Amino acid sequence: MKNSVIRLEDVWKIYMLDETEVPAVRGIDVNIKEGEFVSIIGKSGSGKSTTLNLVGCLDNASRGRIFLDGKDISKLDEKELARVRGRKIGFVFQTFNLIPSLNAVDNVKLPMIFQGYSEEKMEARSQKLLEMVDLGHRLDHKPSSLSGGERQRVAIARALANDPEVILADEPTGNLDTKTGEQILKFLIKLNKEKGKTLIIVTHDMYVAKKADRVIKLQDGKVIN
Amino acid sequence: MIKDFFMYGLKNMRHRQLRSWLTILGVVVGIAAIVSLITIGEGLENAITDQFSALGADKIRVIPEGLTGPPAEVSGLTDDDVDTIEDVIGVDWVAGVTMNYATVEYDNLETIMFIKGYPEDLAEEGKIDIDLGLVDGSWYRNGDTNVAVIGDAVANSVFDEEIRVNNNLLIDDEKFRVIGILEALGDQGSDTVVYIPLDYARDKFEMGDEVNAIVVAIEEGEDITEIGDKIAKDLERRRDDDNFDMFTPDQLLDQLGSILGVVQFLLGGIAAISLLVGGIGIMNSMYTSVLERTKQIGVMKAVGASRFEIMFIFLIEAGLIGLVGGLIGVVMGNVFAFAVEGVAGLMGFGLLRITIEWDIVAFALVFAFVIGMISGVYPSWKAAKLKPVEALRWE
Repeated sequence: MKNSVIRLEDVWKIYMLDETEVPAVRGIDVNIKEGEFVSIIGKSGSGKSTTLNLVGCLDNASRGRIFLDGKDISKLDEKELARVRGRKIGFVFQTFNLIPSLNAVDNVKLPMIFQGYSEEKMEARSQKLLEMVDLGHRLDHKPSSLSGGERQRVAIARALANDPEVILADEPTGNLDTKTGEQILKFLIKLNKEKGKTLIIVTHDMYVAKKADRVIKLQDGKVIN
Repeated sequence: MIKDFFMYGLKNMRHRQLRSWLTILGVVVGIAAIVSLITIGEGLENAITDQFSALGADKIRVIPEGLTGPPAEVSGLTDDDVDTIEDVIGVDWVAGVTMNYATVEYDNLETIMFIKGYPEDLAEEGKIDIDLGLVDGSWYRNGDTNVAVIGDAVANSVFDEEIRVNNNLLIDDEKFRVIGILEALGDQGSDTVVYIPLDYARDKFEMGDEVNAIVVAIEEGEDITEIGDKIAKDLERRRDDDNFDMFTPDQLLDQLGSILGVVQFLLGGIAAISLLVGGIGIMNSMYTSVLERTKQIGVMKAVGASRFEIMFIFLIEAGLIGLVGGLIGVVMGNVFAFAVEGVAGLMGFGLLRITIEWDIVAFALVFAFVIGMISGVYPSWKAAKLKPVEALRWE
């Protein structure tokens, strides 16, 4: 039996709009095991991105507890959350979110800088990761001179920079054509199968969702399956 | 890590080229103004020091009371005063000097010039009121009458034709033969003087036994202040009044130095205001940059940057804008100062000597970097405070 890597216990996220409370996530319980590939689906406003943000330590829960690797992260402060994000989680976004002024290598280096690695190690590792996503010939290119698929591959390499246990992908194929999307999905699945990374993909594309070991369906901020 | 932050800052500056340069320009103007004004101020101070050292640190000057600034035809001192001072122990020699303006004509060109009557016997012995040698000819001797020793500018630049030894000048329509030419000092005042024998000058300008100034040389090893006090006391006793002023080059230099200090302070203040404007420019630019890069800040936070690190990144970038502005400003400031030196030289004020003041250069660079950082504090803090989720959602 594999260990639980992420566990959400009765987690709520409530936003305040003026004086009104707007709950985006209403008491969800989720348990994701190490090396599992899970997709989270749901309509717009179902709370899937909010859930991903909570798991990714990008936001604090209003109520409930979130465990990452057995450690309760719901009460961590800004600085500790930043450290956890840097070491344990790799993000892949729908809009790639690369830094336009930096070339591919420097974009991949970025997460390592905050961990204080040596220049040589960062350089070597970012090159290796870019080669792994078939971008060995595009090291010095800035995002503006890369195609959508190439940008998302740089983003995947960046997500792997600190060798995190968990990859969180928010609509990773949403901005790509079908063929490129397929290719990106293959890369991500490869990471899950071959490298044993826990992969959580938020999507509304059923084709993508069905590739996962398990599908978690959200509706109105609750898990419904 | 810090090196990476610097690289990141530089890459961002390059990425936002036009905006970066415009912001940098604001700092350049401020730093260039400060550097050039201070450098020129220092050059001016050196010039004044040089000029006064030519007056000789061992000489006291006595002038009638109320006579300050350029000499005028005011008197109140006579040969009796000269004799009184000669009797003071510790005094080496005393020169009573007359100063008059007269028309000087050469090669059919006329101009008003400053004519100094200087004792022939002292001139013959080489005891002159300023420490300037002759480039050509000799000083006049006892009994010489219509002869003149002229300053460098009189010889070389005042008239169209160069004046050489043995050429004749007309001073108030009277012929004088040039017998000596002085070295250049570098300023118009000293270089346009014409020395003629004192007795002859007194006759010519109907001065009687009056002198306009008395130059007192102190014996070597004597204390100039002590001798000065003695002279003042003896003069007061004999004249039964204190209608005279005394000064040494050092005193005058101190006075001028403090005036120059005030001027430099004011100019520095004006330059500082322009630097403040440059700083506000950096703040504005960094603030816009934070807004523009909100999403990037979100990304950096997502990949593990802490608040402190985000703040640091933006502070360094702001500091770099300041530093680059400072570097260019220092170069431009010095270029401007040297240009002023060149123009001053062409206009006859060759005494102004500009040298690169390395301490000011270092100060300006550190100052520019710090101004950049300070201007970056608020925008950086705004950036650091952003919540990662909100920053990532920014479009």
